[in-house]
Amino acid sequence: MKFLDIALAILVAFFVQTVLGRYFGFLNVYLDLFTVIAVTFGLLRGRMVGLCTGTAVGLLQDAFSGGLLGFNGISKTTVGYLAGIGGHHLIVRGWSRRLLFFVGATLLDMAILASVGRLAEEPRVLGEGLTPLYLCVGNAIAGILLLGRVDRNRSSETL
Amino acid sequence: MASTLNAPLGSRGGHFFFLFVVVVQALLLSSQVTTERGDAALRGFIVALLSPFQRGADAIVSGARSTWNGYVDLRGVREDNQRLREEVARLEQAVWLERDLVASYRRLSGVLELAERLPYEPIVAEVIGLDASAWFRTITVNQGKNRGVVLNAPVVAAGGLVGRVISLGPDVAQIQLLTDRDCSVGALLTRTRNRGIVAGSGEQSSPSGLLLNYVSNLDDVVEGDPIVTSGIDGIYHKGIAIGHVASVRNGPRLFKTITVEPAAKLSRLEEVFILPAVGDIEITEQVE
Repeated sequence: MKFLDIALAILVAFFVQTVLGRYFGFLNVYLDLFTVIAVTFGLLRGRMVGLCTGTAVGLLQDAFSGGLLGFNGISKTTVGYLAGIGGHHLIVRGWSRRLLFFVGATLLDMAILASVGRLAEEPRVLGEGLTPLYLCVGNAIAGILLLGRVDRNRSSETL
Repeated sequence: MASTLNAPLGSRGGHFFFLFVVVVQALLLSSQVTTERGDAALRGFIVALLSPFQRGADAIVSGARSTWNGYVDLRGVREDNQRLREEVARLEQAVWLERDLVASYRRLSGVLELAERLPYEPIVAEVIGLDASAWFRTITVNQGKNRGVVLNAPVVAAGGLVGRVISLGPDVAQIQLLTDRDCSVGALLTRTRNRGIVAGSGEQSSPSGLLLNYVSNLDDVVEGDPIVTSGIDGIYHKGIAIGHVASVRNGPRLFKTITVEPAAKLSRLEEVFILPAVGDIEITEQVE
């Protein structure tokens, strides 16, 4: 039951990014729900959960993106793991802090993707112009919403 | 699984697990990626990442190895050096011996040639002592009265006139060299037939130790003119080579100042010939 919400979140993200994304192309441009999920569960449930969730969503994303397997895996694993560590050390309450946290996580994810792409001699196009910024904002909004939702569920379970 | 996922933050296991997962994915990624050169990307990445350490380690190891080899070589070189030094010393000794043999051969050849040319029966004597003074003006030879050596007997060597016998023992004789300042020899310039007296000068006035005196400023004398004994002094036979003119200049009074280079190498005498005294020859000839 504890990981059911994670699995459910991953399924929703998969559906949004792969199914809806085919019809609403902007979703894949302004939103990376896999990153949001890895960060959210890492932040709320610790680094190991973040790590496992990041690995799962990363590999899933790679598997269905037609790219190299492990590309997003490494970035999401790292982001999820570090989000778990950050959630332990930082007090991430209030929408502004959470927004900053998700923006930072998204930037870190892009930086890792760029680095891995460079090492693999396959430079990854992260987007042109303000696209990375839109992605950060979209992830932050989605993350705040998801975080609030999961946080509420956890509170109700605790009660 | 739940306990693993809820591992405490301080646990290093979490970090290792994270690294493990990342590395596995990196390997997975590498297996799919090839570079333009056809290498696995991970291999290239690992090589690029580790090559500085590899080079550093290699530099340390090769440096240590080089130092060690240098030390070992140095030890070998030191032994070789010692052995070669000994070899060089031995060869130098052998070369000096060979040179000495060659010099002896040449000297004795000259002595033999002179002995054959002399019209008298000379007594061959070996130099056994030198004057203790800085300039060797007398020498001691190993023949004396017992072999018929007499006082004032002329002494010659391979080059020419050496001096005369001034002191006698049973088996030794002391010979006054030409360069002794008390020695005077009647001389003749063979080119012009001018006469003079060759005398020891001492080191101050003539580096060679010999001067030819009493040659007029008007006479024709040039450097290189040969000088022989004139025979008028009653001690030295006529015609024995004394030397040649080394330098000549007009003197302040009537006579030239002429230095003479001795024909015999007076400082390097080893064997000499003691000739019969002038008077002895005349007596012998009269008896005969």
